[in-house]
This record gives sequence, structure tokens and C-alpha cells, in this order.
Amino acid sequence: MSTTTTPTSDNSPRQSPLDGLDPAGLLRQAAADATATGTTEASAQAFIPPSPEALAALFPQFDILALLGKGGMGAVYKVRQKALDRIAALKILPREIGDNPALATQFTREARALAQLNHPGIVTLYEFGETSGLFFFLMEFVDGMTLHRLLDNGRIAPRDALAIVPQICDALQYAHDHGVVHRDIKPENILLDKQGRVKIADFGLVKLVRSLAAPESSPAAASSTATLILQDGHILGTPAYMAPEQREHPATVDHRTDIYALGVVFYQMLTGELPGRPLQVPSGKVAIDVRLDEVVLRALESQPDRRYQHASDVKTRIEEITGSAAGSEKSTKPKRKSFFEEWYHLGAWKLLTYGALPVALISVPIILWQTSRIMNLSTAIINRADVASPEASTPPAESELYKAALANAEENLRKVKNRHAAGHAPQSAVYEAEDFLAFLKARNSGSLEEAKVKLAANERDIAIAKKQVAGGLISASSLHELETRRSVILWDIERLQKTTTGTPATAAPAEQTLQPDSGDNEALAKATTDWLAFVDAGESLESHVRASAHFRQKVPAAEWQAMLASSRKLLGETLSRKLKSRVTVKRLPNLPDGEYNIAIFESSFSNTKNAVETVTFSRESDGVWRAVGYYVR
Amino acid sequence: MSTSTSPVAFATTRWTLVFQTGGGDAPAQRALEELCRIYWKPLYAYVRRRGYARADAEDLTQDFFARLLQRHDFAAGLDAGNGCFRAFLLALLKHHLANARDHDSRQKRGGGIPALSLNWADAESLLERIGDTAPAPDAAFDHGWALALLECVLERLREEWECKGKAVLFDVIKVFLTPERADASYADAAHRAGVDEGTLRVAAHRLRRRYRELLKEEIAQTVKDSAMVDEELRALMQAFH
Repeated sequence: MSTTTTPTSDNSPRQSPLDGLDPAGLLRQAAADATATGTTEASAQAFIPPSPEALAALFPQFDILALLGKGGMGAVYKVRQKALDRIAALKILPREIGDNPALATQFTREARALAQLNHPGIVTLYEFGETSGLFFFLMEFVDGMTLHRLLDNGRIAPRDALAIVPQICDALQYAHDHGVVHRDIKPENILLDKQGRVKIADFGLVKLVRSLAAPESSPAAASSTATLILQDGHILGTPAYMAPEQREHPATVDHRTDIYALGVVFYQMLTGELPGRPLQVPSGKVAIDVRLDEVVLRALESQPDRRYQHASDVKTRIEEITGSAAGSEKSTKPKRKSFFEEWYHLGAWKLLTYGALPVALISVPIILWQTSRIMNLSTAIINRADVASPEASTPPAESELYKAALANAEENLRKVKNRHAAGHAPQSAVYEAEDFLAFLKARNSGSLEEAKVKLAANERDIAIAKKQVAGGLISASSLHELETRRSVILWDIERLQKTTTGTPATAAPAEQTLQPDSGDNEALAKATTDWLAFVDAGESLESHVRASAHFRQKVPAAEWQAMLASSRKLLGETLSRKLKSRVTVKRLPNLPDGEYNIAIFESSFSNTKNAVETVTFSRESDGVWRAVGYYVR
Repeated sequence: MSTSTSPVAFATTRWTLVFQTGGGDAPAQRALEELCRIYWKPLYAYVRRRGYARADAEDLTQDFFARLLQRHDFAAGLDAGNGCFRAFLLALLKHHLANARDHDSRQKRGGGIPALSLNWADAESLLERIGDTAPAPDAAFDHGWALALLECVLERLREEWECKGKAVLFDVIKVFLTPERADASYADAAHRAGVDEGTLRVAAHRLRRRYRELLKEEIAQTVKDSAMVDEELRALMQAFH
């Protein structure tokens, strides 16, 4: 051995500092950063979106199909959710903005408020979360273009502008009603699908991202039409579309800042230019109805108090102007909330999430393939609940169904936690699973006294929440949740009163269940088979016409057609269908008392082997059984 | 095997220093030694994968470094490296092995070369960790290189945290360095480290950021200019496919 090279005499290997760490993962951690932001010295460079390949490593649950676009606040990719075979848009935030876990809780709270927004004019948020420090949103994919693209060649026809602006107003009004302010309305965030329908993207994202912005990050501020990010990492909005108060007091803006931005967008659509100083009225530049000047100018007032106070006011004024020019269309457009709007307003989706409430489930006229969240959370529970729905009137504490549901909920929570820890599920999923379990446990108490105490507490909470909502402290969705709970507690009380006032528990089903004569059984079986045959064949019109009046009133034919088409696509062909149970009841929540028959099938489809179909029929005044609800899981 | 803590703004990387001077002057010599300290094990792994027995591989590797640090055979590798120290070293090693077949390398060792402490058990353990994932000698070399790089970075990272008196916290949260952290939960880790979850999340965030900085800094030491850092990182990731 050489005397100058000195191998150590110690022949045991040292413990590697890599102990327990996956080297490939360590390299990826750095690579994700390399593509997302560059090194710290390079943080002043523009955001470089990760390549689809780099992203694929972080999101194994998606096929990353293409990079759709990038901006100051992230990049958007077209992806396919493998499990659902659904095309969606995945937005990732620049790592320097998103990588501050201390604020993850706030992010979650904000994002949950956004997730409550469900409006045809707003890009739906499916999911959000964080994967190795990278914050992401999974959103509805809109096949179309941005208004920005449309404005590439300057102004657009006033007729088109007047078709677009009221739709923006609707979406804004809806969001404002839910306590959400967009804060960054600009043509890039206004999407138009192929039918010319408006969908607004990135609702509240500015505020949300600001909540995450780490002080140490410092992306450069960009041009007046790019989202402005200050040196301290705070994001304000987009200068050209920002209301004066948003520049001065960004933290305290309200919904009227969106109305100002809408004014800028409207001006730009009409004239092809951004409003300058001094402001030249649109009719001075192009030949349009001078009354539109008034709309634009009022939206652009620098004092929020002098602007339109509601987005709906802008729409109303535009409709007055266009209506008087081309005959009022108002009467031909009945203002009816869409079914889903109503459904969400009722907070009924929560009931679906809390799937151990079979009767409440079935009471809803139709539930088809809701959001992935609901599917993920309560699959097993709803299955069991559905199959066993005839037991629904048994007090939960004694029910095998209840125990199974509880076990399922616990198992579900454990799984969701694991998935979250592995970065595959957002924090919100954990919260929901926890909420659900807590909710189930709370229902375990079978005593009327306890239910009454719960009701009192709930009513107190509602009263407080109402004040908080009015004061803008919490979002309306929290109130909805409380109100949903209230309806469930009331249902409990009603049921418990029945058992405590001497009606034997065993008698309850008998009292509830009618004994249809054999003719009825036959008629029901035939009605069910016939109706499902139309559903199987995708005959949306036939199945709609043959449904009950209540059903048809709740779900218009076009909506039914769309739902049926999308569900059939997911399910595939019907392979088999086996009747599992059938029960007739007098009463279902939210429906008038009458005769209802609930049939539960174990069904198999080419794409979904183990499905449970629940079909509810009601006997209408002419004595004919017609479908009032249909639910597949 | 501790590495020197290099200044953050390292204007000239170790490899450029070596490259520019042909390893001629004293600073370049030190830079080369430093690089060899970090990356000698993948060379040993390569030699072993070429089929040499442990004793022979030890001799060949040691002899290689002796000659390298005395700047024998130096020019043969400079062009082959294309500005990348990893490629340079491998080219030079191949050259060395080809020559070694013709001579008895055992006769040539020693002779006033700088001390380089080599723990062969470490090198064997690296080889074991490369395992079956990279059977070809070249692949084993790259794989081993990546491991050596990561070890160096994690050592530096741990030293930094140790200096701040946070070695325990470091050991708990280093699991959050990888994107797939399996069952690791912030809450559990916080419990183990005796801090609240928010503190732990912030710490993990800072650790990740510092880790990325250090990794890039270390890679930058081995390439001709910093524009090649991402390319080198990608090349190393390839070794894991």
C-alpha cells in the first residue's frame, strides 16, 4: 500500500446520508424546480412551465395531454383523469408562489369557497391541492378560446359584445352572491366555448395566490395586461383592468372592483382599445348606440359608490337598451334556476356526500355522476345505503346499516389520509372525510332529547352564521352546510318522535309500506322495465316524456338529454340488471305525500361492472306509475 | 469525507478551474482533489462492473487517482468530456483501464501524490445500492455518480442545519425532500420533532428550497458553464430509468 494514499483502516461502510430517501425522487424534486422556476438567482426570469413529461412524474393520476397556455400565475395543461376518463384542465401555480406550506390552510379555505361555485358561466373547480410543494387546480376543460384571442384582431361586433357581456354579468352576480370576488377579470380569463357560451376562469385566484405568496419570491412585474406581481411577492391584479381602489388598497376591495374590470373589458370589446386618459366614449370611436356609453362610463367610475352596485344591474341596463331596439325578449326567457343550481342551493349535494341517508338520496329527482369528489368519498357508503334503503326507518343506532356505514367512513378517512400524505388527495378531501365521520357519529345518538339539543345548537349556529355571512366573514356555503344539517336533524326528530310516542319500531315499516296488489306489482315491474329500456337505449326524449310530471318539471328535456348522454358514455352498455329490493312508501322528503316505489338493482355495465341503480316511481293522479328519480352508483 | 463549504457565489466552478488551467496550478489542484473526493466511488463501481475483482478494482481506482492528480493522461480526457466533468472522468478512466491491461499497474502507484482517503467499504456499499437497476458499467457509473452527488448535497445540507442546532429536526423532515413521501405525514413528523405542524411545514419548505439550491450549486461545480446544469440533471435522471 502506498504511504501517501491512505485508505482508511475502517472497513465498514458509513451510513449513507441518503438513507431511506429515493434518489430518483430527490432528482425529480430538483428537476421540477428547474423547469418550473429556475434557480434562485434566476427567479426574476419569467415563469417557465414544466414540460408535460416533468409534470407526469408528479401527477400519476393524469395523462398530461398538452400545455394549453401559461401566464404569470401558472400554466394550464389539458389532462385526462385516468380513473374517470374525463378531460380536464390542470392549472399549476409557479412554485415560488405555491411553495409555502405555512399558508396551506388558508389556501384550502379559499379554494373550498371557490369549489362551492357552481354556475354554467364559471369554470368548475373539480379539485385542488398540493403535490410536493406544487399547488394545483383541476378544472373543467372548456373547448373553445379566450376572449383575448377573439380580441386579437381588435374590436368585435357590438352584437357579439352584447351577447357576451350579460353572460359575464350572470356569472359575476352568482359569484358575488356567494361572497366571491374575481379580482382579475380580463379577456384572458373569459373563455368562450364553441356554442359561444361564456365561462369565467380563475375566480378569486388572485386573492388565493396572494394568500400563498411567499415574501421571498420576487417574480418580475410584467406588462399592463399581465397579472401584476410585486417585488414582495404580492399579486394585485392586472393593471389595465384594475379599479383605482384595487391599486391603492388591494386587501379591501369588494365585488365592485369586478364591475370596473367588466367596464374595461366591455370598452375593449366595443372599441378594440383599452380606455385611455382622458377617456373617450365608445360611441366617439365606433358607431354604437350612445346609451351604451352610459353603461361603460358608469362601470368605469373611479368611485365604487358611483358604479353599478351589482353585476346584474349592468345586465339589466344592457337588456333594456337592446330590448327596446330589437323587441323585448324578456318574456320569452323565463328566469328559472337550472336544476343543478337549485340542487346546490338546497345544499342537497351534501346529503349525497353524507350518503348514509338513503331516503334523502332518493328524494332527489335525479342524481347522475356528480363531481369526482362525491364519487371518491362515498362510493362504498352509498352503495350499502342504497341496497339497504328499506331499513331506513330503523333508528340508526340499532342498524347494521349504520354500523357498516360507520366502518366505511372510518376506512374511507384512513384511505383519504394516506392518499393525502402521498400527495394524491387534497387536504380538503381529508376535511370532508373527517366531517362525514363526525356527522355519522353525531347521528348515533338515538334519543329525542339529544336531537332536540342538537337542533337548538344548530339553530344558534345558523343565526350566528347568518350574521357572519351578512358581514362577509364567512362564505354562504358554510351557512348552506348548517342548514343542510338542520334538515337532517329535523328528519331525525320526526323519526324519533314516531318511535318514542309509542309506535312500535317494528310497526314503522308496516305503516310506511303499502301493500300493492298483484296488479300493481305487475304494472310497476313493466313500467320500470319499459322506462329503463329507453334509458338503456339512450332515448332521452322517450324516457323524459314517460317520466312523472315532477321529474319533467325539475329536469328539462335538454338537461336530461345531456345527463343521459354523459352518463351512458361513462357506463357503457347495460350488460345485466338484477332486482335487489323493492319497497313502496308514502312519504319521501321534499316530495308531496303519495305513493312511491323504490326499486334497487344490482347492474353491470360494460364500463362499470358493479353498479347500483335506484329507480323511484310515483303513482300519478291517473293511477299510472311514472319515474320520479333515477340514480346510478 | 467532508466537503468544503463553498461560497454561495462561486464565480468559477471547480471544473472550469481545472479545465482552464489543465489542472496546472495550486487552486486547480485543490479543486480537482475536491471533485475526486466526491466522485471517486462511481469510478470504483464502474471498474467493478467491468468485471475486476475487489482487490484489482481497488488498485486500479487508486492508481487512476494517483495518475490523475499528477496530471498524467490528462489531455486524453479533456476533449472527450465536452465540458462535463462526469464524462471527462469516465473517458479518462476507460483510457486508463485500456493502458492498465498492458502494464502492471501495481508497480506504478505512489510517488508524492496528494493524500486521498478512500474507504473501500463505502465504495462497495455504493455498488450494492446501485444493485441490479443499472447492470451496464456505464449506467452503473452514472447511477453511482448521482448517488455520490446526492450524498454530498445531503451532507452539506445536514451540516448547515447542524450549525443552526437543528440536526434532529433535519433528520425528521428530510423525508419531505422527495416528491413521493409515501406515508410521511406532517402531523406525525411534527409530533416526533416536538414542534407544531405549521413550524414543521415551514421548515420542510425551507429545506426543500435550500436542497434545490445546493444540488444545483454542486452540479454547477462539475460543468463548464451554468447553462449546462439542467442538462446534467436530466442526464442523471436518465440513469434511473
